[in-house]
Amino acid sequence: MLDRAAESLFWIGRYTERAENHARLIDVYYHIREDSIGPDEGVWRRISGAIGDSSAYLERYGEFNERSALQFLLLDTEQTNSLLTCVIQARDNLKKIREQLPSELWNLFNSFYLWLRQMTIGEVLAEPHRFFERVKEGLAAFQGTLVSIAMRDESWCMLESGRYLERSENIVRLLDSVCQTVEEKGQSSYSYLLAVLKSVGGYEAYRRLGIDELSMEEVASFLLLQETFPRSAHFALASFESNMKAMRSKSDRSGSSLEKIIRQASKARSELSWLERQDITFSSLGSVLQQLLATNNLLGESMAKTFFFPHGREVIA
Amino acid sequence: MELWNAITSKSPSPSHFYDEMFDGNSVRPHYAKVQSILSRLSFEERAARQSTMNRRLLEEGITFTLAQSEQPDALERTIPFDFVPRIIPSEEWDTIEQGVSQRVRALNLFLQDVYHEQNIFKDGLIPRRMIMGNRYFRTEMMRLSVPGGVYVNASGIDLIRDDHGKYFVLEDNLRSPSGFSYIYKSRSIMTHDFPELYFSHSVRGIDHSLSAFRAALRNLAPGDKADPVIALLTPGSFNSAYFEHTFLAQQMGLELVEGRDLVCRDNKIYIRGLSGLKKVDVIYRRIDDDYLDPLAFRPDSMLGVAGLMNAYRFGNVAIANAPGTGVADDKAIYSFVPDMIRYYLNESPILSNVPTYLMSRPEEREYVLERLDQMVVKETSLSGGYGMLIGPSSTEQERMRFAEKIRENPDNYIAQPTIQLSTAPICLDGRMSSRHIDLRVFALMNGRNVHVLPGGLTRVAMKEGSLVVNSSQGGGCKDTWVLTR
Repeated sequence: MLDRAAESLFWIGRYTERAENHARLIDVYYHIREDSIGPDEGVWRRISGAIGDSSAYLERYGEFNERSALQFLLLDTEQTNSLLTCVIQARDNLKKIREQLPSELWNLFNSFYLWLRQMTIGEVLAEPHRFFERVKEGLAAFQGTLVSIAMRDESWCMLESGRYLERSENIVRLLDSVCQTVEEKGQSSYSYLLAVLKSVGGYEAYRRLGIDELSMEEVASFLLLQETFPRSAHFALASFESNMKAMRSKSDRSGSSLEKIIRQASKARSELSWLERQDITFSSLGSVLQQLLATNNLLGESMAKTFFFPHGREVIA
Repeated sequence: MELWNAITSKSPSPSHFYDEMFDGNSVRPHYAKVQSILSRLSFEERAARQSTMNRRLLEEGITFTLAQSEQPDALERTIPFDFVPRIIPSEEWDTIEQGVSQRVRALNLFLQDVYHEQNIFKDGLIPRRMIMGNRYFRTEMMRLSVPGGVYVNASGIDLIRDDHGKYFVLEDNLRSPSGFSYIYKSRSIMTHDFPELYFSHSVRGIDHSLSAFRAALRNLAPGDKADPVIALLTPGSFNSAYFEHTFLAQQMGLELVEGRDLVCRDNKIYIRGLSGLKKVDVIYRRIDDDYLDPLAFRPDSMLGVAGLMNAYRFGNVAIANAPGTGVADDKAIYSFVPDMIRYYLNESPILSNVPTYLMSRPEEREYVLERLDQMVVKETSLSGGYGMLIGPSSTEQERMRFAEKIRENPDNYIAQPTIQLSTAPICLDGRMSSRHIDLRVFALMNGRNVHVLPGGLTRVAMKEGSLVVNSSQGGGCKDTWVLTR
């Protein structure tokens, strides 16, 4: 496989995962507003900050309101982190390597992109939940087809490692934003925490584990440590690690730099496994998240160094 | 017939053109079945089918990118596809096949001669200056022997029909002709979305042509490696024909690479990948000569591979089509092809040329300048419908400007009488209408054999009355059927 193809696959994994996270998060935020006290503005400010850059928002749209915020987060192609931008990026990468994956996948994702691109904010607002459902379905169809027909070779490992690295990063960011909100809102955070769990599809799982209390600490430890829940940081890092291990036999970069990535991932994962529920308190959470974020950044950089630009351009004629 | 909303009245000026389906008011026998099936469908049914097909083209990303376009959204567009097939009877096809094969063999011998002995100049058939001064002539190729003596591995010969239905060659494309993928996608759309039409005929298959293509490339591999690595060199995903490149790579099992994926070491070319370097034996390139190797040609090229020409000279890698084939598809050289056929093959040409006036010959130039409004003037080194003057549809001012350009630089221009392309029915929003078409026939040369893809790409000028069929100018395409007897 070409270096360039490896890079594209990694980013397809990352961007499709990011798009799904955006859709899940915005959907839930959108539907908890009724419970919140005070003006809407705060909700939109928070979510614009969590996904995009609030100062860029203010520059372009002025005040925070539903219509502009959703436009900004979902369909604004100038915003580098909007849902549509993520889908465009994933598609561009897919286009570059479309001959390497089954053509079904391209057709599927391209139709999804064509549908999303022609949506207007008016249509989204008419049926917001339906819109988010369709986004989730579109991405799930792509993911499902991939699982069903893609070869389990190095291209699969690259794609999956991108996906899980992105997932781990998103969980950290989500929890970070939760921390700040809970700090601001204090007691009224119950419905908010519920929404957070629902956004990752983890509410039912959380209840099945028999956790009585719905507190910041419990939710955070669930999202960080629960190794059987596929959208937990622990699960994401473990999956990333196993995909990297599978690369060992498939790449000649089995030398030190690949081993280093595996070691970094494995270290972060085991640190999470050693944490006890009691270790996660409101005061310690901040530093745990900081550390995880640093690990994620480090892994991203190591991936780029190892696989995408291992040596500069050379001219030997 | 009333459902057929009187095609002839829709035609720009019906009596002047040869219509593929109709002979006056009667349907030509080889179109009878298609005509009867289509006329049983209502407007709505036809329109619905058309929109299903268009959606599929878009979803599958069968697109090309326009080079200059102001709106970012308009950048990626599908080529308009029409479901009324173009049908070629078996005997008619045999002539085309033989004619194209003959032409390609002669052109290949011409290239061999130009880059070696140059007998054709010595015998005075073609003025030497026409070749030496040509921007596509490559001194680097002189005396270089190419694998199997094949210069034009893949070529596309454009054919048109005059008002009597006689076929003429309009143009030879010997550098990197595109359009293969549209042929296969058109066929796939017809078999999936209009099976009752397709399967009611016995049509020659096209799938084995991909194997012939692969075999032609494979046989170029130096040495007798059992499993040579063949790479398709693309300028990248921003190129207008990128879809075609991915299609060919996927269908023929080629490695799709960009210049930056390749590296030259010890005069060998390698693909650099996750699992180390892999030696490349054959490069099917879809980039122009100029960009192939910054060390040999344009130093500012980011698309090619530094050192490629050296590796080629050492015989460590084969390049298809060979660099320098552009001298033979020049629009001025075109007029000499019938002479080449007689000269090299000692055969008489099966397919005729369109009469062509060279602006470098004073008497022909004056003749043309007096009748610019009846002529099509083309710049010799441009293709894709750029740099053309179509006399009958031009304004006085355009003609003045062109006349000036011709006088300034006569070598750069040729003129041909305005050719009446044949017409064929197309379906527009359910209504049948008539448009001009041409035919690009693809030939694959493998050693001494030429394989001609049965059918080819029928291009349609979608604008009413227009004679420009190039996809870069908004042309569409049709599935092309060669009947098996």
